[in-house]
Amino acid sequence: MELTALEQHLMLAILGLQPQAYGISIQDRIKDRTGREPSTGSVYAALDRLEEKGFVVARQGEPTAARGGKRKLYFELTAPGQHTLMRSLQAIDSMKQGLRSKGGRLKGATI
Amino acid sequence: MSKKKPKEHMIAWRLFGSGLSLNFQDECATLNAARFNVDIPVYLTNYDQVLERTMNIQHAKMLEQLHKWSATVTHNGADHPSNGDVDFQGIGETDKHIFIQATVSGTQVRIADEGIPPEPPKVADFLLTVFASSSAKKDGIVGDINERFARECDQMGVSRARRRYWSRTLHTVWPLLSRAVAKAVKWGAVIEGVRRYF
Repeated sequence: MELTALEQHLMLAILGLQPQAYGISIQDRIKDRTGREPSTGSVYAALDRLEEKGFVVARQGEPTAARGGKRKLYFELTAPGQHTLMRSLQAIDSMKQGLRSKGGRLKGATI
Repeated sequence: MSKKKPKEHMIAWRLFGSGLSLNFQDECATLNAARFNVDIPVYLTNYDQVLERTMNIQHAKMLEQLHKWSATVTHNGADHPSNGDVDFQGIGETDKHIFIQATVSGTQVRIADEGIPPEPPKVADFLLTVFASSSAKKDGIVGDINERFARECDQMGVSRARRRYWSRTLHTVWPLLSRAVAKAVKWGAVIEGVRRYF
């Protein structure tokens, strides 16, 4: 199953932050690593899709005052999610290999 | 005559101290419904460690009673109940925070630093609630935006934080709305397909 770039970023962020991956920490992680901060809505819409596909599961944390008494929603990658992410990243690696063997080069990037 | 339900307030305590365990007890007799006891049995190993606890206060007027609290200090495992080790100097308030100032064993410390963030715009909160797909998601989304709002109130002031809250809300609603529409269309197509079949 294909993953969008945002979905890949989300899943990698969740994997790196587990078990403390929730909306803000995921957004911050993506911003730190890619320089682009996805909006809260697009993060949750994508997480909703991933949850529907069975790639992530959500669990509720404790409410805090700073959150207006709302609970955090922590996300974890499922085994099928990890498998799909690995295959998706391998596909990108494989495409990069193809470029390398043909002497291909992206502007400003070493492949 | 119907009684109006008292508004719930969530209070987060931050406790700063060294080798201290504090036990707060409310002495408020006038608001029985709001009577509570908070136990913070954690030993702090260094001064910079911050302990956060949350509790519900069922009436805003409780805040006025805070100066009446008594305390027991447990220092290095030994209890020192109500012996003057803790002297509360009362409650202070700024536009952003409510805090409690006290003296512990003759040393001036800020033993509680309350973080009641200013309330975020209600309409924005309502919009997020409407478009979230489930109540757990709603809590996650609204909570995340509230958490950023509280952080930004400290960093850049309430009015700028409010503008950013609105902007963040509007940027959040659109993807949620698209997702809701996509789901509805998908189910609509499934239902239509089943109808045609039969």
